[in-house]
Amino acid sequence: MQPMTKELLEQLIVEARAAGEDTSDLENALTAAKAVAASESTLPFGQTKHRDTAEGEMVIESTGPAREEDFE
Amino acid sequence: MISVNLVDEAGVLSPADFARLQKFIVDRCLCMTEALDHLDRVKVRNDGNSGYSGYWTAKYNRVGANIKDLMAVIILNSFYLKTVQQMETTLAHEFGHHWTLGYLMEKFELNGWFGEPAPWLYYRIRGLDPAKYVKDYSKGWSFCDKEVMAEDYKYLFSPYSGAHRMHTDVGNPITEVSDYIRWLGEPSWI
Repeated sequence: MQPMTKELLEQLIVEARAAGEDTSDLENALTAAKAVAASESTLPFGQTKHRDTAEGEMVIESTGPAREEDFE
Repeated sequence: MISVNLVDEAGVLSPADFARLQKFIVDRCLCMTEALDHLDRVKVRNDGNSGYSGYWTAKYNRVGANIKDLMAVIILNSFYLKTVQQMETTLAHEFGHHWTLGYLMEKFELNGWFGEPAPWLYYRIRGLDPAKYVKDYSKGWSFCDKEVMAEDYKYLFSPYSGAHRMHTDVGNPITEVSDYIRWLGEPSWI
């Protein structure tokens, strides 16, 4: 998992601008991040998911969100 | 030619950038074919303003005491990552998880990656205070031992060595850490 911070977002914007990329969505995200202090507690760190199967148990372990659709 | 199975779901990569990112791990990082066998794919996907630029996730079947059919996926969030260099930086960290957690599962037979701390030897040579660093995210991202390992991999074994995100607290990894991660690599996956 790579969590976003305001500092990292600012760095990404500078790099993307230098590469000629459109950064309007990142700038909007930066404005929102400044308005609302980013909290790690709201991020989906280290989620796990378990489901019984005919054979045993299916397990997903993630450094971020645990989503079955990631494997489709 | 060995490369990762790259899927550009966001449709943002040029053919040249697609080819570059597909070969990045093999050509420019520490990698062995064995580890790639269980990396099902790397997805470039727009997850929006989600708060993360990428993550590593793995799925397996637990049958009694055995683990079968392990496969991992790496997600790169194109909402934040606009250039191929930015994608490579995140990919280096996420592949660091793949390398190190693969080893931990295989060598230490962990019952879940975040249920136990990283090996004591790693804590010692990395200088991690076990009262401060923990097995999971309960003290935040920066104090999860698995995240330090992934950053160490990126710093030591990728071209993006200038930005270890925990360096203000634990410094950059020394040669012994490099030797340890290289040694614990070579995972003979389950």
